[in-house]
Amino acid sequence: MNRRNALKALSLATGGVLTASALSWSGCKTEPTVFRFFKPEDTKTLDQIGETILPKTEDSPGAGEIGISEFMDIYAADCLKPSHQTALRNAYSQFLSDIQTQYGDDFVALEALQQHDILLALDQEAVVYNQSLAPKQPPHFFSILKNMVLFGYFSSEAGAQQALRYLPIPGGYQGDFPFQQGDKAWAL
Amino acid sequence: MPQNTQTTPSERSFDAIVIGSGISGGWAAKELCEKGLKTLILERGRDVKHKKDYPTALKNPWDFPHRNRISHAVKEENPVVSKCYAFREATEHFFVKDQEHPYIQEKPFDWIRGYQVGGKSLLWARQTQRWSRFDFEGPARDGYAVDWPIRYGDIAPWYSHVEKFVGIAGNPDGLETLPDSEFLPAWQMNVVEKEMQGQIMEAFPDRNVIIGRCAHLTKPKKVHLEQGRGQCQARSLCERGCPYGGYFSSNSSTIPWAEKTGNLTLRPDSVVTAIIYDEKQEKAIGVQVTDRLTKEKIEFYARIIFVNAACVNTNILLLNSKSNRFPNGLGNDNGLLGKYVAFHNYRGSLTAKRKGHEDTYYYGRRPTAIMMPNFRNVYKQETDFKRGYMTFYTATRTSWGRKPEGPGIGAEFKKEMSQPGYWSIYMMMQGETIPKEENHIRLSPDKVDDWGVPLMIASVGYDENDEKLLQDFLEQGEAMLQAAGCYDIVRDDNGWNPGLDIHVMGGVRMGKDPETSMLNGWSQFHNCKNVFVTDGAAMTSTGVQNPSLTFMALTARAADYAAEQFKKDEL
Repeated sequence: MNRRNALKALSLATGGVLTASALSWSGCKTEPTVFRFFKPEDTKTLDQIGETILPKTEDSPGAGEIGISEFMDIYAADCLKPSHQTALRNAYSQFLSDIQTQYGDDFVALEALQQHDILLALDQEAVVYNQSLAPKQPPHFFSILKNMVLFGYFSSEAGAQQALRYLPIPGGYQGDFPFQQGDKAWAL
Repeated sequence: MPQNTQTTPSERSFDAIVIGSGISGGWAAKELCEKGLKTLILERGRDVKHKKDYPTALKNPWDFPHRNRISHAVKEENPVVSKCYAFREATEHFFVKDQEHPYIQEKPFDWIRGYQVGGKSLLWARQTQRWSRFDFEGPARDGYAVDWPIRYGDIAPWYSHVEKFVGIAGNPDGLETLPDSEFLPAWQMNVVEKEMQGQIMEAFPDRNVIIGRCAHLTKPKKVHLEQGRGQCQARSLCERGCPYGGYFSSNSSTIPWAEKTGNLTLRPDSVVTAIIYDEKQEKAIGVQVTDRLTKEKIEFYARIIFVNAACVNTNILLLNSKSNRFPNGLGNDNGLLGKYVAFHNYRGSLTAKRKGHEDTYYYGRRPTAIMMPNFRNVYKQETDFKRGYMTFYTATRTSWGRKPEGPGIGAEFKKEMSQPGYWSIYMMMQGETIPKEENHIRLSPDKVDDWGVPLMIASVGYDENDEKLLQDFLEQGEAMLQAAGCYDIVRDDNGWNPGLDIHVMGGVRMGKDPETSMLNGWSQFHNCKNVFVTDGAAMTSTGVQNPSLTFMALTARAADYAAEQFKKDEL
């Protein structure tokens, strides 16, 4: 199933309800960010994609809440290979226009559940897509986005300290350290 | 002291000159200064003061714009140095950028350099194992290179001498193949590594598995506190420079120690372009320097010269030190200077998964791995390749980068990624390579660098022995991981170019015979006795161990001899 069909199927599955959802998290950036890879108007979309991939939970803020778009733009502009940049740029704008076509509205205007289902479908599509990559062929654009969200979030101040356990100065090493189910991973 | 050409020759005269301030140069300076010799260190790079000049040492991941990754533009500009595992956003200021000092790759060669006070001692991997008698006896027994002019017994006291000062963490394992150092308390193995140790040693009774040995202060002694160094904090941010002095570097240890004697002069930004040989006195009398910044040319004089510029630059400097007596480079009567260059074979690695112990974790970031001394061809030749390799492995629990069990987005996914995953095993090799005449470094006949020194041409490659040794490691590695209960074992040949190991050795080898070697058993030129070479360039063969500890021991031994000869007026 290609992305267009996936989105169409989702659109039908969710009844094509196009309700503007209030952002469920607070603290999104009010000052305009100078973007070098994405466009300033992508801020909310990227933050909402980030929030959908890594949402706010009881112990830690979501990726959108910490303004992951800012890091995504820096990383995409400076660290992605040109071939990945091109793949991401093209597929991302296609994604935005597909959403418009299918839902008649922007991604950020959709309900959180719809956003989740759309990205979950993309994630599943990406897993299949990435299994048969030719050498040096960029991965699925959603994988590039998702990797930036994961890396940016878990290396952020909130992500490292709240979603993970951050030990800047351990002081020593213990090879047998108690671990209970649910304990968090070290950030480094 | 004044540092320009306005100074008089006597103001530019010292008892000893040490060229290079890295791991071996720092030791040469410390030993010579302690024995009362007025010593000048010439360092081609900028000054780096301990603590003060470690700008990233205390930064958090989120303090870096790219979270400690290298940008695409920097990678494009630096195709060579950006391959180095330690070249990161937090450390790039300690590495030479590709364009700053070009060279010619007749065969692919990755030349990794650190031009600053402290050199690569700021950046080294800090793993320290003594050579064994088998390593020194290897060339003579197996008929390659030339016989070492020394044996384990000659260097053992000097290993002890440097180890006490450096501080080596390790366990007294009592192994003939990897003799014990003077140890500080060892790092621990984690639960999985320990279980694998038992399984591997049971399945392969001739192999040993031990905790790694490294230059980290697990429990500082008085001599370390006197250096101003403290306990390693298990941060594993070492290559940024350690504000605790937890690991050994010239910056934290030997250079300030030498300075305390009052006998040291340190001149950064001083590119030594040649050693000056005096035909009448039949010895070297000093060095020519080009100031890195002003390009001013200036000479310094001394009775003893230690060359510690790091292997490749030591070869370049000596090849460029031409005189009527030595038209092909200092001491190069036999034409072997720059030849028999060797390195370490790091191409093989394996990854695997391991079940069990999901209820155990570890605390802190240990600066060493599990080590296995070489078990190939130790007592006699057993395989269809010469020599052998050390094996290293670690067991760690995976983090957020792993594939999730369920959906890859949302609250459940986030929770899963916030917790440690399965145990992941990484195993790698460090293989000996056989020095060969065709593996060499020479100077360009027509191209020069910014300081007027001919560009280096690297012609160093792998051979059939290296390929066989690699295959053997991959086979044995897989067998050992299987015996240790691992699954999903994946072999990898990373295809690294020579040089990326940063263990380049040889070109100015030690030996017994002036016809077939450059240096004698005191690391002293056979035919120019007041010049000593005690960095990697002096190595006759490579062994399988991380080499820095041996460079330090050979340096301290040579400096002791040189100072003795100096005082007897023999030099």
